[in-house]
Amino acid sequence: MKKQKESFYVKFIKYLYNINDNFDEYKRSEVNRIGNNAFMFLIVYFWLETMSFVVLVFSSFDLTDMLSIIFFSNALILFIIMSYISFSIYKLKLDHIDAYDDMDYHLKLKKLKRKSIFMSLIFFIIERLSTFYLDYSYNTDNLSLIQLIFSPRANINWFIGAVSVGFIYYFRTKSKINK
Amino acid sequence: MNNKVKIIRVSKDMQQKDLALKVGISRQTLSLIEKGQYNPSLKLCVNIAEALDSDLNTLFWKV
Repeated sequence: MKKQKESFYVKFIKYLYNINDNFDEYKRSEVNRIGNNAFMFLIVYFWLETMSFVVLVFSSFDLTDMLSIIFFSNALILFIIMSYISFSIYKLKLDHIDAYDDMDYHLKLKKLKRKSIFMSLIFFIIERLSTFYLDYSYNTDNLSLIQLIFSPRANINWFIGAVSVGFIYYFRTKSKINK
Repeated sequence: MNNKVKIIRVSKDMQQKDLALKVGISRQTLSLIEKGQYNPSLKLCVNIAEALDSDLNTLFWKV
């Protein structure tokens, strides 16, 4: 059967839910169910959060404390939702990849290698930019821009970190390929 | 929902991965359909029937 080209929407759902292979109707129905559960949990949480916010505003609660509470409760809820989604996807094995024969298996491994290298590169660039920004903001040693960008220690550290991320991603995904 | 997909597939000497590839679904989905643990849509039932050179009555009706 000829494989249909995936829309951006489908690609985004697959990325969000960490689904690696063919997004068939079973996977779609399970993703819908998981998404609905997460949505119901979130809507109840946002309703409670908004009501609490209104009550706290009228009881002249300290604004900084209030924002801190909201920030940490949002972070906690995000963690819970992400854990629920990851656990559901793992339990239903929706992140597994089917390899139909040896040639297909090797082709998928090749694609995975390319994707792992790309992920390492993206990780390296994002981490280097964010650490560069932090170093630049708290530049207590008065280092120049060039010294901050080409700092061998930071570059080597993050290079090793990026390679580790690539390796972990590669071996984790490889274990999910069903031969 | 019980069905005869597995029986017909085996009788045609077809492997699960071949049928899954032909229909455009994953092996996991086909396995769940064969076990009766997932109810496929009418469109998927028709695709499976076509791939097995069979019909909906034989595969899914009063099994």
